[in-house]
Amino acid sequence: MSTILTFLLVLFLVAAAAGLLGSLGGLGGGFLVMPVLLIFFNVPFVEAVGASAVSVLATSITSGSAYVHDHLTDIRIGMFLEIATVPGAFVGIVATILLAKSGLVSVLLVLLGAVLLLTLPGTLKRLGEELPINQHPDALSQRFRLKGRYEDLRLKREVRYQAEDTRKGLATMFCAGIISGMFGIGSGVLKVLALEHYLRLPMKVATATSNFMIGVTVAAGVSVLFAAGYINPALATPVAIGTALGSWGGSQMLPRLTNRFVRLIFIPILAVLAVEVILRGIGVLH
Amino acid sequence: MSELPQEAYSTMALVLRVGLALALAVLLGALATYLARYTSITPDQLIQNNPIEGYISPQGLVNGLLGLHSEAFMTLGILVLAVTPIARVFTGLWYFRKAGDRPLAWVAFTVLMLLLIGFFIIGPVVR
Repeated sequence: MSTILTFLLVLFLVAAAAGLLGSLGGLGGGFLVMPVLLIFFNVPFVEAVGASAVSVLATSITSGSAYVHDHLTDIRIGMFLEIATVPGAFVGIVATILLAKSGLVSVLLVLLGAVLLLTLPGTLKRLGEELPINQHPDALSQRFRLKGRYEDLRLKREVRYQAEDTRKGLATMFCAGIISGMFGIGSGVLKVLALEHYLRLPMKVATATSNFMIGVTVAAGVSVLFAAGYINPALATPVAIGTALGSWGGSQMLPRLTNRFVRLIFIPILAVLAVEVILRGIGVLH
Repeated sequence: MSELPQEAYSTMALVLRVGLALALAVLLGALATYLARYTSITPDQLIQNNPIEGYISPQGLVNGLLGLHSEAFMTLGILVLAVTPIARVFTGLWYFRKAGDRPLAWVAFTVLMLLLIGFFIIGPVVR
């Protein structure tokens, strides 16, 4: 087997694994692709962001289409929150392009790792919660009718919900957009947590809606990276194909899994990601 | 103002699936051609020599496609991927407007405008 074929095959397999886990946890897949490209393949930072962003795009579209079809996605809430994630992504990607030239990326990696670690306690605390309780919609939620319902295959009943604290949700989504733009990841970690913690959506709706939103957020970043010449098509292509296949597998599995099981996958990945970016930020990993 | 019809969900899923299928078909074909053409290229060369420069402008991309350059087709596949969520937002705008849901129609319109600004203004400015 030729060197280039082996290289592209490894890239494809890593991307497929990232797509599967990304789809299950609503993470987007970039959390794995990005460090692998930097550590094992020595891809320049901004081009790694570009390839990672393309992979996240493929993940989001693949699993997003399945979740929309199955009514797990809340289209109203997703599109409402995209009004915050898209400007955030623009801020993030422009910042990365500028920072890549000034050598301050390591500081931001440490900050990102710290933010991710801070999200762990909240996730662990709600490990056993299948559905949100005591929902109190705010004025924005009522004005935009940010409510919905879905058929839970495992609980065998219809679940109804309404978004709660939309202002905090929007603010968190703006931050998620910045991180997404900066690192070419879906920021599904923050999106899922905001959807669950502030908007108090059921876990499966939060995961599906996060995937739905990630596509538009990352498309905003990819458009800027493309026009600025930071997307390497030969690198991004095998990654996009791999993540698309992996996330399709994940989207087929999610409706039949318990929220607890999804979280048990989600939490260790979040922890590894956080440690990984901190180690990279302080220079232990190169 | 009524709830989004089932048709909206189906159409949106269809838009995403068609976009993805189209992009993957183009990317797979381009990757196969690339591997057949560049058998001796090393991973380092692939990483260091980014061919995107020649295909950023519409004219460069069209010339590459007419010249059957595999990198041009990869670029086209990536563009199709990037445009797919934008098409999904447009579909959402259409259905919110049709359902008489003005607040959400405005939200979708704003998101669409922001994405177009990114594509046509911010990207070229950063470049």
